Amino acid sequence: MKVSIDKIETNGLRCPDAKIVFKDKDSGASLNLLQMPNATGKTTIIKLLGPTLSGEIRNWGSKMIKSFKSREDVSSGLFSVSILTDINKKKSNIQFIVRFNFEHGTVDFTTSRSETSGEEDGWLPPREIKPYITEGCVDVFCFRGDKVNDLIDSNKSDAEETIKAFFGITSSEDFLQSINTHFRATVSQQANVNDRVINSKSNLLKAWEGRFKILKSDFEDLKNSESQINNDLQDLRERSGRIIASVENGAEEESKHASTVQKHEERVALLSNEYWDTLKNPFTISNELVADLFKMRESLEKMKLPGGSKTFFDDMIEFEENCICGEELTEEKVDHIKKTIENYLGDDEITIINQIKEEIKISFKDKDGEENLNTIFSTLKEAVSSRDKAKIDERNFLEGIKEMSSEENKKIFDEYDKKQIEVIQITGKINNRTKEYKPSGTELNNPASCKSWKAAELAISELSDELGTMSDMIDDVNAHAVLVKIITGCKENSLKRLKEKVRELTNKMILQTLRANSGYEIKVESFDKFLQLGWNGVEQSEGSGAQNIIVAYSFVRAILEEATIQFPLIVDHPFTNVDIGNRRDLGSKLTTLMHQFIGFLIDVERPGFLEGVEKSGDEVRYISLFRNNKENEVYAKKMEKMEQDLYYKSDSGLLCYDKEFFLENSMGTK
Amino acid sequence: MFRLDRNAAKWGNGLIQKKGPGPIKIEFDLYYIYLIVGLGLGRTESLSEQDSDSKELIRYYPKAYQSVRHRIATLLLYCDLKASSFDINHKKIVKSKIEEILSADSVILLSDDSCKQLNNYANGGFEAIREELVNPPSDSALFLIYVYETFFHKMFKN
Repeated sequence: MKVSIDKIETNGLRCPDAKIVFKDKDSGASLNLLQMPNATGKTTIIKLLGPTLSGEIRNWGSKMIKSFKSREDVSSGLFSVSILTDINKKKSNIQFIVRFNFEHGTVDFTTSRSETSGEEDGWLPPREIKPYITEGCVDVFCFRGDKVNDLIDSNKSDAEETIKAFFGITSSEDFLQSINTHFRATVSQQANVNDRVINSKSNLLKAWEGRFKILKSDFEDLKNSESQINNDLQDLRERSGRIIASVENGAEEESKHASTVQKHEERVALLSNEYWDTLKNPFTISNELVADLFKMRESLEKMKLPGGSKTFFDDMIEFEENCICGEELTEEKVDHIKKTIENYLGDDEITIINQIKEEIKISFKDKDGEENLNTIFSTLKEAVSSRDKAKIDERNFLEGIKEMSSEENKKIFDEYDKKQIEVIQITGKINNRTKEYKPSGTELNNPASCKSWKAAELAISELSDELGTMSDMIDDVNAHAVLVKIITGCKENSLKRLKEKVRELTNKMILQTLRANSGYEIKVESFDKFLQLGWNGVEQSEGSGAQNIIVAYSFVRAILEEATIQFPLIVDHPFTNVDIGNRRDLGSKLTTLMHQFIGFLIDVERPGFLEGVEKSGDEVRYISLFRNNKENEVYAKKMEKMEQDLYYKSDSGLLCYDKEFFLENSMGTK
Repeated sequence: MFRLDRNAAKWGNGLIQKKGPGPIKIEFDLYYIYLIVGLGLGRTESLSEQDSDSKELIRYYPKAYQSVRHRIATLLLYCDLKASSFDINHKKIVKSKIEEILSADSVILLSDDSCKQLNNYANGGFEAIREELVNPPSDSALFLIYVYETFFHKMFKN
């Protein structure tokens, strides 16, 4: 099964009106490079592509929809994506069409299932590819540049989420959720309510269900707002980025500052964790403490608080008639033994004491405990101070640029700062809504105090089970528990096996791409929530820019291979963090990786990369798209001298497929 | 069971980053730092066991703390003997303290009463920190530095 992007059409949006036709391996060019000057609407196309393919755009709110309106005075817009599919050797051209109504903030979504058929309402992809173009799956092959880092970030679970989405694990989680919801509703409605206790429990359950609905709905609203805020933030980041890039060496300086701050942040995190691990042995805090504890240990030794024998004598008094010496255990002798063994500790206590003595001994021998802690502390303090300095430098640099900017541009910087605060605030709220814990004690009896829908759901589960057990639904409770266990077990086993398979395949793909014996060897050592990189058993938190990209592309290829499906790989800023040498190398290999690769290129990625791509010969489609305005008249004139099939002209846009034009005109920082 | 004053939990909540790169990831991490400060300063503050005042954290040591349970029990024994000014060479007193504090039947190695005492030390540590620091800093590295510089030179000193 194979899917390619054939054409993207835009009209009345924040990008030029255009029809961009792509190629794939079958039509002679597996690599499509699209260059657009800044502020031409590259981000608009990328943001619309995924949600259109997945049909998710139908769920967008009016504010989001209106944000795509062209700066011209238009009331409607259009975005369509045509895909070519090859399913069981049957080829089709399917078109997803989104019509924007900017006045009402709505969209109409239609699908044309073949070149000859008309449009039908709704999102109607072929049954075979439907599971692979859901929201989560589209992100696999249509990804932003920063996704590369998200896959290997130990604090993120994007890699695992990708597997879950692509292989139906997410669907099984949804299925489980439906079962739980149905079970809770059944218990709530059918439990025998004649008993006063059951009645009160049932009322509490209903109160929790009400709370759950409120919290879940609030959470959905927050997620929508988060998505909107993130979009705004990205827009503002790009706009402020353009202002910075317009200053001489601005972009390079900004990138240098950001990378310095990140490097220092990572060092602080590493050292704080090291310090914390050391501190988890409280004996390292003070040598004086250890010396004191050693004295306490010696006293314990001297006191000879024996263990073992106490149990022996206790048993003897209880069960034996004679003493170990053979004489009869008289009352007098029993009293004497009892009095003596009162000073003995029991077996269990003595085991703990022995362990305590051993640990004191070890700490006493290790005279460097406190010194080690102090050394790590000093290093941590230095690292924090360097980090703070780097942050101040970065802030000063940005403030400097802001000072030099026009009033309008200053507002962009201010809005960007505000938006960053909004992101932190909304993330905090979302975290509160998703805190996972089981409410107990007072909180269980007071649903209104709960702020997390996940906690509310756990309370509902617990109360449902309790209520079911207390009433006449014990069989239903047991059956539900078995069903949940089976589905959860299947889900976890499948996920584990899939991750291992994809890890192996990813490593195979990495080997195909990396230069042999280049000193650049890297592989995925393990795969839990994220891809743990390393080599020869030594783990590393990340690779070089090139290594990270190779790992990410290999991961995507591995997933697609495992799913026996060929999709295009659509990447925004594919090589931003890669050095020139590796860009050249990767550029020469891209045509061999996928049957279709679409890269939205920016200027800084051109050096090296284009030289490498050149080696691929005709297998590359070069596309330039820019606004049809006065500033670009010179380009328009050049284009008009070309053959007609090499360019496309609309009122607002100019599109050119000519290779020489692409190579001669670097447009990114215009 | 380990309990934490609700104000103490709320005060340090911003330092916990479950998925962040910093070391304080769970509430027990917060409890632990309060505890060592309390033990180190020999300061206890009685913790109310009412649900409205304090919250149950966990009944046993989280995995990351399993290996230090003997050391924490040792420190409690040591601090208690010191606080009572008992003679460490007095066999009967030491034995009775050991029996009072340690419990082989408990996974945390402490009797119920001594676990309550441990909670009081954690509460004492929190109060000591809060007296010096009205609001916690924004990141855990700064917090750890602050605790070290403010308290460590005073902790476990005769």
